[in-house]
Amino acid sequence: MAFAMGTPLLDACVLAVLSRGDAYGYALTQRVKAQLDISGSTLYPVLRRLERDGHLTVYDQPYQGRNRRYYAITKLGRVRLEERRQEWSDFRDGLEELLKEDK
Amino acid sequence: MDRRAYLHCLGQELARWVPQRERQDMLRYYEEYFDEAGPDREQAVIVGLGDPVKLARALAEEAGFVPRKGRRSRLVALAVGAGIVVSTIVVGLAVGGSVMHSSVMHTIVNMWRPDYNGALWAVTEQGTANHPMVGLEQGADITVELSLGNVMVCTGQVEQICVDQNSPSGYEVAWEVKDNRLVVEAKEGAAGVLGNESAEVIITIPEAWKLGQVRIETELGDIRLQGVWASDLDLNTELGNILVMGTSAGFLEAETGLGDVTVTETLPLDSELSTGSGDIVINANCMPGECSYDLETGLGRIYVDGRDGGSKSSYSGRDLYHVSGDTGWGDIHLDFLGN
Repeated sequence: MAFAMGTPLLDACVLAVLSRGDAYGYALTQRVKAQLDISGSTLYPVLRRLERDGHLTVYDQPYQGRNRRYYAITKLGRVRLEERRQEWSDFRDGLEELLKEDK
Repeated sequence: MDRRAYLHCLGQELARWVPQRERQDMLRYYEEYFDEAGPDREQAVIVGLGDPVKLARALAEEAGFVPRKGRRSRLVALAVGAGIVVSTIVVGLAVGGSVMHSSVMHTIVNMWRPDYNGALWAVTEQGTANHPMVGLEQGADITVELSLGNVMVCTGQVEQICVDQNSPSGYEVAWEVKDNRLVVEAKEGAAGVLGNESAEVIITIPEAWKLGQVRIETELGDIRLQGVWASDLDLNTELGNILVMGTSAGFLEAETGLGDVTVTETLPLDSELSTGSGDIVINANCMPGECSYDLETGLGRIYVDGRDGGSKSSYSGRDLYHVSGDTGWGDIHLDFLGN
């Protein structure tokens, strides 16, 4: 069964993972992929938008002779994450209420 | 098609719509993606990313450089362009929140509410977690020393660190806060009663907080960490299981004399795990090859992704994780993402 996943939820997922610690693109993608069936092209636009909106920052660290780009959540990002969590909670409750079977 | 061809094609197609600077960012992202996946997974990545022409188009559209066709909504365009499916609704935020799908967790903090004095209390399934700890802030250290008792440290929607104890057998613990450190230990003269219900100490941490050094020691009891973020974790029990779940730390040391050690759903963290008699189970949150490990069992077997690796197994990977595991008499299971 497929449900299209809207961008606000994807944003929240990425921010949630980053709220536990900085991560670089590939590791972040794998972490989200462990729970959701997303393609490799999914996260770049999300990360870009989150950075543009100030919800995460980016820094580079040398790794094995190249630069590895890390993403870190910002304070604003944490605020947004909390909001999204609440929205999701409300949404989920409402949806379950509608979807539940009559006994 | 190999990586070079793929990226070349992607670049060509992007050049149709996307200005150079933005295009370079995009290409850099995908170059790094290929780098991290490594040559072994090059083809898998190419398959996963799909047609480079379509990918370029999706990226260009998402960035706003190409007007979307017709009146497709943003939602549909993203879903179509990225092929996302969500297999169950509930899974959605299990990634980051304090809701875990495992049945192991006992305490989930659902909300907080003020009492008549205005102090905040965390409400859990077992009731109210009382005793918010004033005087602790981010970076706080936590030390717990019990001879008898289970310890759980979890996150929740609380404003301050909260401590709760549940000791029907009369075995009590005391706590004190000093210099941004919380110390919990058995009350002097406490008589431990060995039975079905031992003391239970539950420490609830505000979700966004990072802790400093967390050291938990109990002689008889389980230690459970859920959703904790700390610099350093040092967990020790003589008789009991250790479960570390949804956690992030610089370093984890977990040791049990008789019991299992389970590490799961954590971001990469260096760890030293050992049991005298019991299994070690690690669900490494990375791909095979990203983890370095040294595993040794006395009288057990080591299974890496289900494959029997004998009683001693080492691997030098890309050091995203370094795990060293050692059991006297028990198995070690190391499983990687995607398996």
